[in-house]
Amino acid sequence: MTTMCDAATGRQELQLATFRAGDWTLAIAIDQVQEINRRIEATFVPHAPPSVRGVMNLRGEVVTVIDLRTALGLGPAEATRHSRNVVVNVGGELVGLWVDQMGDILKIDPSAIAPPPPHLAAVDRRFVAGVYATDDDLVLLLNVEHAVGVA
Amino acid sequence: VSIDEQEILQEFVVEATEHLADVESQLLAIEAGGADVDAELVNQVFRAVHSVKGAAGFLQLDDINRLAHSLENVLNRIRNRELVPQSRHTDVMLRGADLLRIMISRLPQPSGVDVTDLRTELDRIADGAEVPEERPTFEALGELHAPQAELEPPFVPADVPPAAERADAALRPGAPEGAAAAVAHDANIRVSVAVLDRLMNLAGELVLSRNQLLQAIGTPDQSGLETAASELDHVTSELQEAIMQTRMQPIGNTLGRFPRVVRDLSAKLGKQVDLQMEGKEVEVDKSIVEAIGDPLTHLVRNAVDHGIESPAVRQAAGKRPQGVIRLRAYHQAGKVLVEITDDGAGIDPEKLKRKALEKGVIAAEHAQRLTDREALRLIFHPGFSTAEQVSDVSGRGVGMDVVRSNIERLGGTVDVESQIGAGTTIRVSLPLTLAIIPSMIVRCRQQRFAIPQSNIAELVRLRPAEARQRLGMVKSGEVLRLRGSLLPLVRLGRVLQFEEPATAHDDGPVHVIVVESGSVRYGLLVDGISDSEEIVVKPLGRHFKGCGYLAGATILGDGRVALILDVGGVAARADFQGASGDEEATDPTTQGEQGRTERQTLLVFRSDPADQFAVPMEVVSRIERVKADALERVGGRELLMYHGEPLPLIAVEDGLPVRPRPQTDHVHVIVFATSHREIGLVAPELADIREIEATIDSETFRARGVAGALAIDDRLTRLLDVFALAEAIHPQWFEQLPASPPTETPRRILLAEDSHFFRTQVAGFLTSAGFEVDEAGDGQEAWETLLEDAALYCLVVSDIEMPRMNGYELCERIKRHAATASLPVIALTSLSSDEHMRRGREAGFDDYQIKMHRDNLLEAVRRLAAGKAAGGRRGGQAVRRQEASV
Repeated sequence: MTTMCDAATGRQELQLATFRAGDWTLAIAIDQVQEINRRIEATFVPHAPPSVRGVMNLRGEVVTVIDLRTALGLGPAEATRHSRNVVVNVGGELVGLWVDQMGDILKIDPSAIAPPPPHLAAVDRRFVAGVYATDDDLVLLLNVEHAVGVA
Repeated sequence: VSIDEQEILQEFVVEATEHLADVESQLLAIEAGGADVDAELVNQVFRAVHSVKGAAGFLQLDDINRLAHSLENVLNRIRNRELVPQSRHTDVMLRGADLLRIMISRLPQPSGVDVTDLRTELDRIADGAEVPEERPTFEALGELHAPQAELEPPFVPADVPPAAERADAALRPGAPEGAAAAVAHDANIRVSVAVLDRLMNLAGELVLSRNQLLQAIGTPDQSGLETAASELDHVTSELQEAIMQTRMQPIGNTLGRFPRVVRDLSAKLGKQVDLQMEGKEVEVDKSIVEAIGDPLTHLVRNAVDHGIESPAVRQAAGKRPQGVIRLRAYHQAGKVLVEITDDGAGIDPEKLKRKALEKGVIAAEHAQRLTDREALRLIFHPGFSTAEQVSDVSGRGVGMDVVRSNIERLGGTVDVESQIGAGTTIRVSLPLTLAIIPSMIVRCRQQRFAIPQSNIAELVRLRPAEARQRLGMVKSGEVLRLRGSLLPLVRLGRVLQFEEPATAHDDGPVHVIVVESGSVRYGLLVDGISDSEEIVVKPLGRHFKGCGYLAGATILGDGRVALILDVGGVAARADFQGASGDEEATDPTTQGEQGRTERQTLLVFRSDPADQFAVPMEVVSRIERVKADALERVGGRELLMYHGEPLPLIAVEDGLPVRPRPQTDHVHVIVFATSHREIGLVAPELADIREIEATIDSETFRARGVAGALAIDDRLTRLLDVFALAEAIHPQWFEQLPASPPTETPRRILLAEDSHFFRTQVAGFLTSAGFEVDEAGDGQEAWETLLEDAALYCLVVSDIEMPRMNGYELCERIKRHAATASLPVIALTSLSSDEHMRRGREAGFDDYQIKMHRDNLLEAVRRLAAGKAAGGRRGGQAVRRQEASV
C-alpha cells in the first residue's frame, strides 16, 4: 500500500476504491486494483472452495473469481446489473473479487484509519485491516490476502 | 538487505552459477587427459573459479571466497604441471565445486555448510602434503564417497518454492520436486539478441496489422477486412513461433550432469564405463529440459547398474572390459528422441516373464501370449524391479514405472529394446514443447473439459440399446464391456458431483473415452464429445490446489475457460484403482476361440522399421508413390495435392502409439475410399503383397484402427482397420454419415460368419451404425436361427466359406423358403474372383461385399435394410426376380 504525498499540504494521501458487499462498504487501496469489469461469465470449478465463483479469461490469463460475500461469510452474491468484478493483484496472482456494486474513490489521510472496533461482529475481524469513518458511513478496509484466503 | 544489495547478490548468483556450470565436465575432462594436461582447459576452470572467488570477496561471502581460493590453488598446481590429477584429486575438486554451487544457490541465506574440512583437504593437495596414494580398493572408494553422501541433502534446499507454485508445473501437479528444486535462477532465461530483434519486428508488424484492421472496420463497405485479417493471422502465428523459440534450450543443459553420474557410479560399482554423448545441441522447450532430468538420470544410472557388466564378466563374454553407454538426442518428425544405449548384458524376456509371474503382475496364460517385445515392456510395470538384489543405486523406490509415468506426464513415451548379451536401448520420445498440447474437448452437462490426446486410447460411442448391454456392474463398480474385457467405468458427472441430468439418459448415444495414464486405464463416460483442439495450457490459481483432478485450464476459441482433466487425478477422485492394461478382467461371456484362419490378401508395409502393418488388399483403391516433400501440412493435417484435388492423408502414428515414420525421399500413399471421400494412408515403405492364411489375434493389440495382429515372416504385423483408423484420427470426416432413421421395423441383422475375428469386426461395424446384430457361427446355425423367427430380421449378412453349411447354400435356402424369401442377403467375403461373383449371383445374393470394406458394406446394408423396412413391394419384386433366377 503506497501513500502519496500531497505537495501543497505536505500531507500523506491514500486513495481507496470502495464497493458494497452485502450491507457493508468495503475498500482497498486503489493501486492494488488491476481493473474493474462487469464480466459475469465464469467457468465453474467442481470441488473448489465454496467462495470460488469460478475462473475467467482475462486477456489470456486464467483468473480465479472469488465471491466476496461468500468469502466474508455474508451469504452468496447474486448477479445484478450493478455487480462488478474487481481484479486485484494478490501476491503476484490476479484474483477477481465479485462485489455487489462499486462506490466512490476516497482520498483520505492514512492517519484517519482506525483499528477495527471490537464490536465488529458481522465480518470476521481477520478480514478487516482497519476502518475509516466518512460523514455517513463506516468503510472497512479489506485485508485482501485474508479475504481471498491466500494469506 | 537493501534492494540494491539484493540485486547485486542476485546478479552474482546468476553469474557464478554460469561460471560453475561447466566446471564439473571440465574437471572430468582434465582427469581423463591424465598426465597430458590440456592447459587451456585448466585455465578455463581456473578463470571460472577465480571469478567466483573475486566476486564473493567483494560481496563478503567469506566461506565461498575461501573455498574458491583453496580450489584455485590446486588448479594452479595442475596448470603449472606440478600435479597430475588423480581420480581422488578430482573427487575432492568436484566436491569443492558442488559445495560452491550449493552455497551459491542458497543465497542470500547462509548455507549452513562447514567448508573447513574440504578446504583442509584441498590445501593439503595444493601443498603437496597429502598422504601417498593407496591402492583404491573398493572400500576406500566407498569411504571417499561417504562425505559426499552427507552433502546430498542440501541438493534439495527446503527454501526453494515447491513445484506446485511454479507456473509451468501446473501441468504436472504430481511432478517430483527434484526438477523444481534444480537451480534457483531458472526463473530467468537467456534469449539471443537475434531472436529478440525478430520479436520486436513482429510486434511492429502486429501493430501495423491492428491499424489495418481498425481502418478496414472503419470503412463503410469494410473493404480490406479480409486482407487485414489474413495479415493478422500470419503475424500471430509467426509471433507465437518466435516466442516459443525463446523458450527453447539445448538439451545438453540436462545431459551435462551425466558424465559425473556415470563416473561416480561406475567407480562405486567397480565397473568401467565410457559415456558417449551426441546431440547436446538439440533444442527443447525449457520446461521439458528441466523436467526430463530426473527420469533420464534414472535411466542412465540403470544402464550403469544393471546394464553394463563388471569387467571380469565382460571379458569372460569376450567383450572389452570397458562398457559403452551412448546417449543420443535427435529430432524426428516434430519430436525429440533421446536414446540411451548400453552394450551390456541385455534383458532376458523369459526372466522378466518369470519375475512378473512371481510377483503376480501378470497371469500365467497371459505370460505365454506375450511376445518378447511385450515382455520387455514389463519393466515399466508398477512394482517391478529387475535387479537380482536391491542395490543402493537403483533400489531407491523409484522404479521404471515412475520413469514412464513422469515421461508420459510430459506427453512423451518410452520404449525398450534389448538383445541378450548385446545390450539394451531405451528410447524416450518427447514433445518439443509442453505449452501446446493436442486435446479432445468433451462435454459434461453444460461445461466443456479438455483431455490431452496423449491420455486417450480410444473413443467408444454406444447406441442406447448397446449401452444397456455393454455397461454393467461388477461388485460395486461400473464396467464397460470392450472387446471381451471389462474396463472400469467412471462417470465424469459423478466425479464432479454435477447433478444428474433431468432428462433420462437412455435416449441418446453414450460416449465413453478410454483413457490411460501410467498404470491406470479406464473408460470415462462424458455427455458428449465436441472437437479436438490444440490447446495452450494455463496454470490455475492457488485456490485449486485441492483439485488434483485438474491439470490446468485453457482458453477455448470462444474465449471461455475450459478445465483440463488429469486422467490419473480423476481416477483418484473416483476412488477406484483402474486396472492396468495387463490385468483387465476378461469378460466370460465372450471368451472362447480367439482367432481363426482366414485367407486374406494383404498389403504389407512398414513405418518405422520396427513396426509392420498390413491392410486388406480389398479396401485399397490404388497406391501412389510420391515425393515426401509433396505432402503438405495445412492446419495440422497432412494432405497431398493429387490431380488438382486435395487428398487428405492419415499416418499410422497419428492414431496409434507407434514411432513416427522416418524421413525418406519418397513415400507410398495407399488410397482407399469411404462413402464420402478418398483418404490416403501414408506407407513409408511397402514390403509385400501377400496372400496368407494366418491366425489373426484380435485381442492382444486392441486399439482403435487395429483389427488384429498376425505374424508375417515371423514379424508381428498389425492388421489395420483403415476406416476406424481414419475415424479415430479425424472423427469429423465421418460425422456427416446419415443418422439411421427411426423405424418401427426391427433393425436387427443376422450375421453368419465362422471366423471369430471377422464376426467381431463386422458386428462392430454394424452395431456402431445403429443396428442390432445376432451372430451365427456358420450357415447351419444361421438357418436354424431364421427358422425360429425370421420376422425378427431385416437383413442377413453371410460369409461364403463356412463349415457345415456355406454361404451359397444358406442364401439359396433363404430365397427358396417362403417365410424368408423376402429377406435381403449380402454376401460377405474376402474372395473376389469373377467365378465367385457369378456363383453368388446364382445363389441369389442381393449384394456382394468385401469384409473389411466397412463403408461400402454399411452403405449396402443401409440400402437393403431400408428397402426391406419400406414395405413388401420391393421385397416382393426381389423375391420374384430371385425365383426367376433359381
